[in-house]
Amino acid sequence: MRNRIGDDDVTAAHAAPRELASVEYVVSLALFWGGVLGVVLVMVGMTLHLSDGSWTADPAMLGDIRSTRDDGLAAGTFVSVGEISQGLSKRPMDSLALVALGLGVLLLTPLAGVALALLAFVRIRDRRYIVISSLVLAILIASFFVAAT
Amino acid sequence: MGELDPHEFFILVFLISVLAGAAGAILGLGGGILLVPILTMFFGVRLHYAMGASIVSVIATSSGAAAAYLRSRLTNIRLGLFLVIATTSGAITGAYLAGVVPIRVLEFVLGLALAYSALATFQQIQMELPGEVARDRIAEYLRLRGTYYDVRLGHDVPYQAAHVGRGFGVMYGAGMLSGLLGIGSGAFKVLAMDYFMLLPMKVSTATSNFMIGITAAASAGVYFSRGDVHPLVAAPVAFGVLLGANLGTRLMARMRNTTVRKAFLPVLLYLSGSMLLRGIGVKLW
Repeated sequence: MRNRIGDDDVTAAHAAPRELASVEYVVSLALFWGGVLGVVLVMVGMTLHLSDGSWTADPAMLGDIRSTRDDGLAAGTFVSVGEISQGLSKRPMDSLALVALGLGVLLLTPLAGVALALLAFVRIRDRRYIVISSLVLAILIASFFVAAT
Repeated sequence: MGELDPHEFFILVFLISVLAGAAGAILGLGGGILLVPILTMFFGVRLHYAMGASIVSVIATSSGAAAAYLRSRLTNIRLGLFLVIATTSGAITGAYLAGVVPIRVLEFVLGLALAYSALATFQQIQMELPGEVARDRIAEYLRLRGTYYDVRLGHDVPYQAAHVGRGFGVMYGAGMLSGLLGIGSGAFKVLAMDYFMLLPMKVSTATSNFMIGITAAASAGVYFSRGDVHPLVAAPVAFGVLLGANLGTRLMARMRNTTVRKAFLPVLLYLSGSMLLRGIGVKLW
């Protein structure tokens, strides 16, 4: 029973080393480029922010981060995708919205890694890990929905 | 600290983050345990912004390090994905507990658990490689084994996970405790793999690096929607940590497993001590 042709255990165990390695490879690409993209957006946004005068125009902002009073959200935080896109479409563009976008990309990078792992497991027909990575992906997506409420 | 101008703030936080990222990449931790105290105590950043930055740092460390570790097969992706089910489920359970159990009790219990981990780590501090381990049915069913090339030792190291059931259980408990308190989850992941599942130390820290990013992403949504991720703090952290983690992976390849374990121990002791203190009401940060 365990050695029927097509049984995922046999298929995956006998997959060429290059195929097994491809799971690690695509996930590493997703994590690497997701991280780089997120950080590049953050850096561009920060450079714009530090050089276009908005920081010096609002020195209180650093005070907000550093104060110990509890008076609600500081200027510069973005709490939803909507706020980020609003900030991005302002003219001149809110540079901190770009930073927030980069941070958002960073936060989503592990999700992309798991999604790519799932695709790679589908390709080598590793049924057990298709199930496992789907489960992880489902948990991650559920957590974003919970956060949005 | 005296009045910092924005550029100084940015550069200093960036430099600290590089260090935190490197240490995190080597030890399988997220860098938050270093960053949160430093940001709050030395930079005067409010705690919830420091925690938001910490979540960003965990994900940046994970993305920066795991990419390299996956390629060199130090991270066991199957093991990581399987065990992350336990940690994320544990974190969800923990979220329900938060309303029921007082935070100080949780902190104290976490402190005790970390003290136990420090003891366990100390017990096997001289162990370079685990050698032959007991066969485990789950490990065989899910193919929780692998081989990595140890640059320092100069040869391939085959390994196999043992006591997977116990490891899964420890991961669940770890997810529960640290999901509530936001830190320390990397330390438990490493412990579960090194001490309970008898994996080589470098595989444990590398796999933990992969897992912490996923676990952090699961709770990142909540931090983000609460406004805890402030761009001005999180930006230098993200940049510094990503760079530092990348540097850390290069260092780690050249280290012995025992060296990694020896570096891990003081961090555990510090974490355990600060949690126990918080549990009895003494807050360092």
